[in-house]
Order: sequence, then C-alpha cells, then structure tokens
Amino acid sequence: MIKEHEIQFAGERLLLNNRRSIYWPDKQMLIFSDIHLGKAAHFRQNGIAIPGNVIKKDLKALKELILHYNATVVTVVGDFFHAGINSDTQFFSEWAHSLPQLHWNIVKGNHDKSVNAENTDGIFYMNDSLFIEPITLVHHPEPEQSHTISGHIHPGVILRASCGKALKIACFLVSENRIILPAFSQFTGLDTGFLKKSIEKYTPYVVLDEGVIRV
Amino acid sequence: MLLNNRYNSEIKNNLKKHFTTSDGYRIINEWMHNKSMVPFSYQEKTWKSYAHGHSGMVVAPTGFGKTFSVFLAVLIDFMNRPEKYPRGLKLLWITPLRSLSKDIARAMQMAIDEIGLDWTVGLRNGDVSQAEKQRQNRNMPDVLVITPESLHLLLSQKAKTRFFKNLKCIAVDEWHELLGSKRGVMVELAIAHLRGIASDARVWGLTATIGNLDQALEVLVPRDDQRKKIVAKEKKKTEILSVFPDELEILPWAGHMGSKMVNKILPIIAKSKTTLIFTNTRAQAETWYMNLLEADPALAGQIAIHHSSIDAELRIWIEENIASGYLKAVVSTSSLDLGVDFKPVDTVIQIGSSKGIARFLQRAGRSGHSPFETSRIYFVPTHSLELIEAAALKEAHKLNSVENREPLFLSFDVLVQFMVTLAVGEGFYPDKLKKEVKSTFAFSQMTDEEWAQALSYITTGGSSLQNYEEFHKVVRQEDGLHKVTSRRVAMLHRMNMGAIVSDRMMRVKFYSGGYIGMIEEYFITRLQKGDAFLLAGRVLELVKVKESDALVKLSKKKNARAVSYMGGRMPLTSWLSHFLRKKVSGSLQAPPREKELRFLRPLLDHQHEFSHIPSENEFLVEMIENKYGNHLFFYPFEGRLVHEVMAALIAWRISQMYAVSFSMAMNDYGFELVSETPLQIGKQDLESILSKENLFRDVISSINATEMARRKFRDIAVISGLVIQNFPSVQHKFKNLQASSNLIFKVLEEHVPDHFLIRQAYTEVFNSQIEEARLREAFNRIANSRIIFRKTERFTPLSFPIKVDSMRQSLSSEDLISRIERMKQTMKRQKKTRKKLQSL
Repeated sequence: MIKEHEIQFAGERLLLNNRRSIYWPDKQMLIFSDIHLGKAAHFRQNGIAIPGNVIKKDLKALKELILHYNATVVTVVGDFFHAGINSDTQFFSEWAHSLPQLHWNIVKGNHDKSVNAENTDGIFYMNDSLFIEPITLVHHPEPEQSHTISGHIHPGVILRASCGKALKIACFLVSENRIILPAFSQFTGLDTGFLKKSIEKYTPYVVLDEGVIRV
Repeated sequence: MLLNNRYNSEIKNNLKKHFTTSDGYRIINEWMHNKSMVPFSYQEKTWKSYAHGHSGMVVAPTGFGKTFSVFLAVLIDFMNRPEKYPRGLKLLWITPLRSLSKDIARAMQMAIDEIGLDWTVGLRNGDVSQAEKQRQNRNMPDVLVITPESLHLLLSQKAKTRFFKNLKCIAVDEWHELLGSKRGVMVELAIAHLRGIASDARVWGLTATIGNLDQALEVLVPRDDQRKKIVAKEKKKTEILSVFPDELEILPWAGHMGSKMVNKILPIIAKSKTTLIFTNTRAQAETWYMNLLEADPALAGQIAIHHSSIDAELRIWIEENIASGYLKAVVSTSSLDLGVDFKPVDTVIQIGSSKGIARFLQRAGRSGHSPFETSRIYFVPTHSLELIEAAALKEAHKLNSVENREPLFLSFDVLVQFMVTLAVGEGFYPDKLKKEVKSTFAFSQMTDEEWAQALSYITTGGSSLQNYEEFHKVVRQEDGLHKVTSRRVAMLHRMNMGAIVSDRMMRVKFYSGGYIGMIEEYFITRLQKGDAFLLAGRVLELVKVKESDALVKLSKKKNARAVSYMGGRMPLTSWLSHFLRKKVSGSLQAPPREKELRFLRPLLDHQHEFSHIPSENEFLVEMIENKYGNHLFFYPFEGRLVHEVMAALIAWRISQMYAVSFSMAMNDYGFELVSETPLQIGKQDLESILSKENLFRDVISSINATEMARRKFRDIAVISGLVIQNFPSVQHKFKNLQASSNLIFKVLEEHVPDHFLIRQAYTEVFNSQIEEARLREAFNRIANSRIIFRKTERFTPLSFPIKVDSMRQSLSSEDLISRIERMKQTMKRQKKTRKKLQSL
C-alpha cells in the first residue's frame, strides 16, 4: 500500500510517500532520485553476479506510483544511470516507451557523466538543475540556494531499540530550505552518518511499510 | 657426494631393510652428530616412513624440531635416490605465518649448506619483492616456503604446471592452526590440485597436539590408505601457577581487579628474564600496559605493547628485541600466540580467562622454549571466580585433554574463489577439477547439483537454467577449457584473493606527522573530535579524519576509551566448560592441593549457604527478586555464544506461557533473564522450559536467524567475490562497483532466496554461531540432570558477575509496530538528552 505524509515546503503541498518518492499535486509531478539504472548490469559486466530482476522490481514500483497518482511529469533528481549504457538501461528504454504520454525531466547527477541525449535514443534531455517555481531541483544539496529538492546522499537513520538492537532505515531529510530524497532503487546503500555531520537542522522521515514516520 | 646413481628394485628392498645404513641417513646422522644433536625417535620414524613413500602427519610439541622431521626426510630420500628428483621445485613448505617463514627458510638453507648440497630455499609471501618473485618464476628454487594465499596466487599463474610438475613433497606446517578455518580449506583445495599435477607428491602435516588428531590427518591426506600418524613421545613440561589476590571478594565482578593485581605481577617480571603478558583483547592490553607503567615508572623503555593495531614496523622491532633479550616484558594479545622462538622468554603471564585449554598451553609454551626446559605460566584472574578456571586448566593439562579443531565442510565461497583463481591462470576443465575438489575432505559430500551451481555462478552468474544478462567472469572456450579472458576481472580477482576478511581499517597518524597504527573504521566513526582513546600505550585525542587517515595528537585526558574489538569476545570452549563444571561440582570437598578452590572457600560457602553449588548431575536455576528487577539465573557453563542462544530460547518459551518481555545478560558461566514484572514461574514450569523437545523449532522461533546470517554473509560475500574490497587505487572507474555485503544479502535473499551462498550463510550460523551440536548436547545433559531451583532476594556469587555485565539483549512478544513506536520514544529521549547537554 502506498502511504503518504503531507508536508508544506516553500508554500507548496508535497506528499512524501513510503515508496521513496514525492508527489507534487499542484504540478501533477512525481519526483524521485538515485535510481541508478544499470547498476546491477554494471556489476554483472565486471563479474559480480547480481540477479537481473532488481531493475524490473524498481521499474514496477515506479509504474505503480505513476498510475497511482496519474502523474503527467516525472522528475529525476540525478543519478538516473549508474555507469553508462548497458542492458539494464536498454530495458528501461523499452519500458519507457510503454508510457509515451509521460514527460521526463532529468537532472544530471555525478553518475550520469557519460550519458547524453544522443546515446539514450533521444528520450532524455539532461539538465544540470531545474527550477520549477518556487523549487530548485538539483542533485547535490547546495547550501547557498533556498528551497531545493536533492538526492545524492542516500540518507538513512539508525533506529536503536532500548535492547540495543539497531535497524538501518532509508529516510527523507527535510529542513526549512531543503529536502533530500532517499535513493529510489532497492539496490543502493544508505548513508547514516550524513545527518550527524550536517550543520543544517534536518528532520528525518523514515520510510516503512507502515507509512512515512517522522522521528 | 656419495650417491647411488642406479636405482632398481633390489636397492629398494635393501632400502626397506637397511634404511639406517643408507647414504642419506648416514650423512644426515653425521651432520647432526657434528652439531651435537641426537635425532628424536619420532624424527627417525618420519624419515623412514617418508622413504617408504608414505604421506602422513607429525605430532610434536613446539620446540622439539618438527621442521627437521619432514625436511630432513626429504633430504635423505633425495640423497638415496637423486634420480627421482629432477630439476625444479621439490619441496613446498606451507606455513600459516609470514613471520615464521624467514626463520624456517634460513634454518633449512643452513642445513643444506652444511650438509653440502646445492639446493636453494626460496620464500614466497606478501613481503617478498616483485623482482624476487619474477626470478623464482623463471627458475624455481628447490624448496619454497609459502603462505596459503601466496600458493593460490601461484596457482593463478599461467606457468603453473611448469612450476609444480616435479614436486615431491607438500609439507603443511602448523596444520592445527589452519584446520577449522577457511584458510585450511584453501590448503585442502590447493593440495588436491597440486597432486593432480604432480601425482607422486607426498603430503606431510606438522601439528601440535589437538583433540582430533586422526581426523586432522584424514582432512590433510583424505584418500591415501598408507597415511601415517607419527606422535612424539616427548612431552613439554609446563608449570601452571595461580596468582591470588590479597583478599577474596564474596561477590566478584569482572574488570576492576586490574590495578590491585598489577602489584602482584611486578615481582614476577622482576625475577624473570623476559616475560610475555597475554591478554584477550587489545583494550585489555592497552589498559594493563598503562597500569604497569603507572605502578612502576622505572619500567618505561623496558616494556612494550604488541597487538594487531600497532604499526607493523614497530611490531617487528618489538619482536627482535624480545629475541635479543633487551625487553623485560611485553603485553600482547593473540598477536604473539604463534611465531618465531623467543629464547630469553622464561615466564608467561595469562590475564583473565584464556577461554580454552589449547590456547592456554600454546601461550605457556612461549616460555622455556627449548625441549628440556619447563614452560612457566602464571594465571592472573580478573575476578575471583576465574580461579576455578585455573583449577580446571590444571586438571585438563594433567589429563592431556585439549580441544578439537573442527574441520569445515562445503565452504562454497572458498570453492568459487579457487575456481576463478584457476581460471585466471591456465584455466580448468570442469570434469577434471570436479574430481579433484570432490577428493578433498571439505567437499567430499558435495552433490552434483551444488557443483553445477558453483560452476554457473562463475560462468553465467545465475543458475544453470538462467543466464544473467551481460554477466562476464569465467568464459567457457570451445574445447571446454574455462578461462578468465577479461584483464579487469583477472586484476580485481588477484587483488582480492584470500580467506581472511578484515574490517575496513584507518591509519592513525599524528597531526604533526608520524604513523602510530591501524584501527577499525567503525571505532573511529563513533568518536567525536576531541575524544580520547588508547593506542600503542599512548593517550591520543582525535583531531580530524581525512580520507582514510585519523589524525591525532597526544592527550592528557584521563577518561580515554580503549580500542574495542567486536571479534574479541571469544567464547569458552566446550572442553574447558566440561572441566569447569567438574571443578565447581567438587569444590566443597576440594583437597588441600587444589589451592584455587581452597582460596575460594568463603565464596563457595556463601554460594552454598544462600543458594546451591551444582554437582555434575544437577542444573542450578536461581530466582532472585529484588529492587533491581525480577531475575532468573541459569548456569549451563557453556560459554557466552551458546548462552546467547539459550537465553533467547528460554525467554521465548516463557513468553509463550504468558505475555512478558525480558532483557538478557550472559557470561561464560551462565545467563540471566530480567523482567520488570513479577515472575509467574515456579519449579514445576522449569522442566518444560528446559525441555529438549522441539529444541530447534523453538530456537528458530526465538532468534533472529536472518540477522545472524547477514553477519555471516559478510565474509562469504568478500571471499566469493560479490563484494570487492581492494580496488586499483588510481582508477576511479572501479568505484562504481562498491556495494556493502548487507545490500547484496538483501538483494539475493529477495530475488534468489535459495542462492547457494545464502544457504551457506545460514549453515554457518547453525554450525558455528549457534553451535547446534553443542546446544543439543547441553539440553541432553540438562534433561538428565536434577533441576535445583532456589529463590533468594540477594545476588549470589555466581549471579553477581552476570548482573554486572552490561550487555543487554531483549526479546518481547509484542509486534513490530509497537516496537518501532518504542524505538521512536527512545530516540526522542536520546535527542532530548542530547539537546539538554548542548544547552548546558
């Protein structure tokens, strides 16, 4: 079940959901980050046996979200590709053709260097950042700008029970000026140290099956 | 040289009858005689047995010339039948320890030169220069002293067959150290493969005494009918002395007796030539080193601290200065358990429990090293109950009882690594390789299906039915040869071979320059700037972290943390626990010579008066209800690991009777369950709670097996090549291949739940983490015991140390959501406290 938590950000109503993405109802826009397409295939090319269905599962989840919200625009805040073009990304191209009415905005991330419109069938145009009044979408969280939505970090928190057991869980980080998205792909790690080191005051919203919970 | 040039069956027969008149034997005997040495009878037996073409294993205590048993056997045989030894590598000497190999090679070369042969001895390990390795590749020495890892690297070379085709003997030194570990499995696989290249090579193991010698021999030489076990009659004399505190505490607890016992140690150091002081953890070593210097500042410069986090160069310096007699004492961890002989060491001190008999005696053997000296070891308890352990160790030593080393089965991570290793080099044909692999002890039970899984894991990535798209590792060529063709794959594999997986380490350096040592990354990440910690006998303060360097400065802070080490908590072996139960059982009737038990008399009386001292056919359960909580204490004396599982199991069984949650704590003697609510348990319930019925169904319900398997998978992922730890430093593009073992575990569990490496992780949990066999045995024993149930309000001498132990684990029968709610509450509380602290 898709469950949401509504927040006000830059005067806009945003829905943080438990599928690691944000829906912006006013723009009919689904926002997510760090799907790292082709990561599993890249591992396989280098002799690391990661099963092929990882990407299928990520894309299935994505399609569910698009249909659930009836979104017309999808914005990816960077690290759309993991390491260039391979069989996983080709699989994605075919998948994307099944949703022709959808408009894609893709913000460049550090992993997207070697990818451009020419080698992606011309489907995707990459932006360094994107401004959609009143919010800037950019891969790295930039302290100078106000009201940004970013990715890159793969934020997570460690929840510690009184018994000493610990769970690592992906989360959104939200401050007055910034939102950092969790990584969309299941095949990504978590940075639990970022929150501790950051000077900015973030509130983590953890992503659980039961919903998005503020901690 | 006097050598027979003709070889025929007549001579062979003569040899059998007249080995002692053969040229080789005569020459070796003369050489020994000139050095005023007389061969031990077990050495002569080895020589003879080798001459008859047998493989086998030599069992002798350290210091009794094990090396010369097998090494000289090869020389004698060569001198008697030189035509059987063509040019090239003849003897491969596998040793687990890099530090030992230099001395062994030197001793061998000296013997060869003195005897007048023209053989050369080479070294091959991580310390050997690239130039030297290339020289060897062109022209192999006659004898090569090598580590298991370097041997596998040699097997990954394209000229492998040329290196080994004339090999006559594979010797495995310190086999007891390798057996039971994945490095041991590496050795098994390598031997099977080498015998496929050099079919007449003999295999000889050298080992110290362990409990399962016959099995150790079978693992090493699995297929030969004519394998010989040769056991030295000579025994090492060992003196075990307990150090008693001035006064006995009726309620003992761990970790605070240090400073008092230091004053007992100082005179021992003073009257000895050189003393090795063994602790169980680096943290303990650091603390005791500090304590010693504080108690006697004059020791500065005469004592040192040695453990795995200390800079390697400094460690070598320390080792050299123990050998030269310059250092008076060295505080160390297991880092000095093995290694070169230190002649001046005449005294060993063991601080706290050694957790096992073999380890205790091994450490004792580091003193009085020459055959006819006595090893002297002092046992210093860290709390008074540990004195029972000293009594147990003495008894075990008297009865010559030491632990088994349980061999590993079906370590598929090691197998797939080995297969890729061969594919990187000359390549392999699956049918031939399968035969070799199945000939090892570790994989003798491997099914055809499992072999197929391993093979498709490295060729297609997935199962034999399904190809992983774009997977590229080992390629099957037209004639069926399996090879690695990608240079990237080959390079990454070579850089990541081996079966020792260590945590990610950080270099600790002075801010002003100067290297101190290495520490686990997770320890540093827990520190804040300005926090103080102990390392290499210094109090250091973290200044900043820069990439993989932790920059520090000297600190005057008092409350420094000692470097903690997750793997440091070794459990008590079942051997030692057996003797421990025996000693506790008879403690009230102890004869006067059992000084430890006499000393503990007041404590034992107290236990007896307020509760009970369990005899061997009794099982004690104490219920203690007081203002600290409602406790149940159980005393299986089975070691911490088994207690962890038992505690979770018992808590789960009680929670099935009525809703209750417990927190748990344990030590090597027993465990406690604590509840905030009054206990609704009586003596009549204990039998079902402690029942052996449905044991494993209940264990699986009570523990988090997935979490345990995830932890086991860490090593498996690295060894099998799913997680790459070492990357070529300059090439940034490899960074895209980083993933944690947790992530891979999650992905595989979800998409390929029956993956053979995931299954291996669960198997390892059951075999080594839960110690299935031992747990079953413990419950059988309890079932056959009388259960003694005692209720008191005060802690007893047995329960108190557990109560003080801080480790807590909890289990509740509530569901996950409320658990998360509670976690949140805890987090809030933590945050509030943090905030309060900040506002102060």
